[in-house]
Amino acid sequence: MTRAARSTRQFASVGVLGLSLLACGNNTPKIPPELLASGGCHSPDYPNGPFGTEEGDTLADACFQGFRNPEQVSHNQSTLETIAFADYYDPTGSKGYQLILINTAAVWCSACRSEHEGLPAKNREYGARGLRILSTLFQDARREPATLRDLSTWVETFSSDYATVLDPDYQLGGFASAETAPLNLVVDAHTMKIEKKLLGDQATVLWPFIDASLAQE
Amino acid sequence: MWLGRALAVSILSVAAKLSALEPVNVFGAPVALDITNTSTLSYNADNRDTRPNQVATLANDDWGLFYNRLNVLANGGVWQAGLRLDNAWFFASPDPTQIALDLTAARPPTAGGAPAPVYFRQKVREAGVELSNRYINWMYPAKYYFTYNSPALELGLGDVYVAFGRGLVLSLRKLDELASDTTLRGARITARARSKLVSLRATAVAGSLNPLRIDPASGRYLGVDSSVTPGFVTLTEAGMPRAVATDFVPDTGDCKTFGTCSYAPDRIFGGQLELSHKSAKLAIQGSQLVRSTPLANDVVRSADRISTGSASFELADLAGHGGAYLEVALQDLHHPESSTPKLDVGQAVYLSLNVLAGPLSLLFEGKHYRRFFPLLANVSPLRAREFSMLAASAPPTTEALFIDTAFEAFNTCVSGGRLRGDLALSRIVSVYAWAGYYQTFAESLANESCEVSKATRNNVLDTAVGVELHSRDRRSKMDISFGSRVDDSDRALLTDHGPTHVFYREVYTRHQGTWFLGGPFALELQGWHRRRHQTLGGPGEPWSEGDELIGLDYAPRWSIAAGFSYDTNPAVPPTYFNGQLGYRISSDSSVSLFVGQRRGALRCVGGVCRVFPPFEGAALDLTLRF
Repeated sequence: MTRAARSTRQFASVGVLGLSLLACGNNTPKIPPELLASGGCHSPDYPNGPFGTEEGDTLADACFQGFRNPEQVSHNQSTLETIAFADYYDPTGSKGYQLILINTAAVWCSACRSEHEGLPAKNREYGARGLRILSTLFQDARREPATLRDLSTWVETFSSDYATVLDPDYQLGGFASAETAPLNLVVDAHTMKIEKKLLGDQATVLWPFIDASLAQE
Repeated sequence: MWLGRALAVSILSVAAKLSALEPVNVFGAPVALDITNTSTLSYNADNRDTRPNQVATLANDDWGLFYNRLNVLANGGVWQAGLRLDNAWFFASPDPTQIALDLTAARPPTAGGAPAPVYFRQKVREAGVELSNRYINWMYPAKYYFTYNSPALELGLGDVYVAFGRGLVLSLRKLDELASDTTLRGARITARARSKLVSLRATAVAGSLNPLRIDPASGRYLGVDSSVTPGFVTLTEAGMPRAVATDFVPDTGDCKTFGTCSYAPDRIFGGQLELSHKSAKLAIQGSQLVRSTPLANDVVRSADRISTGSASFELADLAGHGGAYLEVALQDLHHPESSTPKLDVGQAVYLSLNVLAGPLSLLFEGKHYRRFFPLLANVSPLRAREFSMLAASAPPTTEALFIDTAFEAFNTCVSGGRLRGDLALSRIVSVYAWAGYYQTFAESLANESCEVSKATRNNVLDTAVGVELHSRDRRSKMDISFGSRVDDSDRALLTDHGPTHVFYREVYTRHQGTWFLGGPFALELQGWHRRRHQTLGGPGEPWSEGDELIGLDYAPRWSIAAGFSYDTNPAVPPTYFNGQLGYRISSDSSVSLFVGQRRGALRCVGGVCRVFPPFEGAALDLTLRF
């Protein structure tokens, strides 16, 4: 049944509310078998669950297509690479990663844009101390899923020198609704636990927290 | 059809019985009872905001609500007691699995996407979390109070309203336009003393912040749990909606990590001392907001204590030629986390000067705020974004009441003012104009520490002219205005089309009028049409939007109206139509029906704003007063 047809049916249900209250039935939607298959983005070395979306929870792995070093490559289909949270997992410290800043952004989002004006400078300042930034672009100016063209324009506009990826599915929707963007997650690279979760461009809180956390490492 | 007939018969039968309740005797004294019941039956169909991959845009479709507000007031002369009981019953709501199936079916082919089963599982979980604190039935005591009034003493227990000065320190009030009603649940005591020369008034308040917990526009509710209701808050939160565990959100025992725990009531203590002599009034007022577990990490909500104090001086009458008001305030935010930097003490100066000279009246309002924040309530914007603007204070904006274009944290670090002039040209024609100029340092980028520099500055010019026309018998009137807003950033803003200093532009026209047509008929017209351009946060190109409402009143019972809205912003549907029918059963009782579409919008009243989602469906309102 199409969404429109279902809407019409449910709208009509108001008129027969009294009758529908008396009726019994099972409205559980049927899930096609192909959607019940297992699999997905998983690295064997990644921490096991349970995973969550709150501070203190372990971040579930996710995979994206994007540019790991956007300032070093041309921005087209051939230079896209798969980037996963697992790439930044560093349990022993052998990669030199201490913290990961996972950031969401959308082209329509004014706070995201003003935040990204300052991110390259922060990346240079804190990168040497073990911070890795991974920014996910999820929507365009019309709130449609972001495309490679949006991603290219974005990294060129803001001279992004940190990993920037496409998230057209909005895989990070479990952490925050799209309209509250940007979302900033500070994750411990040794454990993949979420240390801080911030909505909006909260530079006054975010960077002193990162600074203090890196100082403790 | 049968349902409509049954409803009409029920309403008419109730209407016939409507009459004021007779006073009852309580310990020999007459007590008047006043009972008002307001019911809303609404159904929200597909509101056309659906976006690929976005759960929230499907989770707000296909739900129905019966929302009832029962107000009982007992008036015993010097004392009053009241209760407002709210009841929300959701008779239809979306299903998380169905949302995920719909999103999977409509998923556009894009690069970088996850495999379909992974996508489906993510969306089921996301929808489950999204719906875990929406569309849940509740009945709770929204407000209750007891007040005692005498010339020397005023005592309020339960839910009380508080407004100190012009809202810089504390402002808890009801805003019907925004369906907002926030009180302090606790106690308020006011003592008055008067001599021949001066009068003194002292007020003290203490309690916990009590907003309305259910948002009928979204079906979301604010839930607390025992970890954020210690001490006397256990008492003030008795019977209020609680966070609930679901298949998707486990109860962690800690509101900070419990996914449906979206509210932790702040405790607020305040006082005001006011000294008056004739039309002069000197006052000092202060408030302290004490938080339990902060549910958000922004600089205001993460503060565990916010102290705000002000001194104000008012001359209500300048020898018959106007009045003046000045308030100076300080604010200190205390953060428990050592990593959060200590902000300098915030400051605010607000000035209002009103001059009357015959047919001319002038009003100047000025402000100078530095790191001065509204007292944002301890709401989790992640879990209940619809309540994210809830606050216990409302620093004056000095702008026109309807202005909704002071973006981001505009009012927290700003200097400027507005001058408005009204000139009565004759008994039937008056004209008005205003010009406001502001320099804000927290609009085009985050700047909580209020760094004042060219790199952070936006220059804003807001102007308008208008005319008010009245008929000779004053039964017809019309108000038409034209306005503009020019907002430039000193810093070059980075856009996809290159750098620019243009932050925001708007021209608009507003009108509101009533024409008496003779007999029982009157025509009403109301509209606002805007041409807008927003560099950051807009659709990337200028767009037009507007609303027009035309109504016909058939006094004293009937009214009918039709509305039309449009929006050329490509992110939203282009047109909206609706119709409204109203019937006044008596002076205090009425029934109205709304059918159609309503545009989603940010609505502001004097700087207090709220996002209303788009609506498509039908709503029946019935108000009965006994």
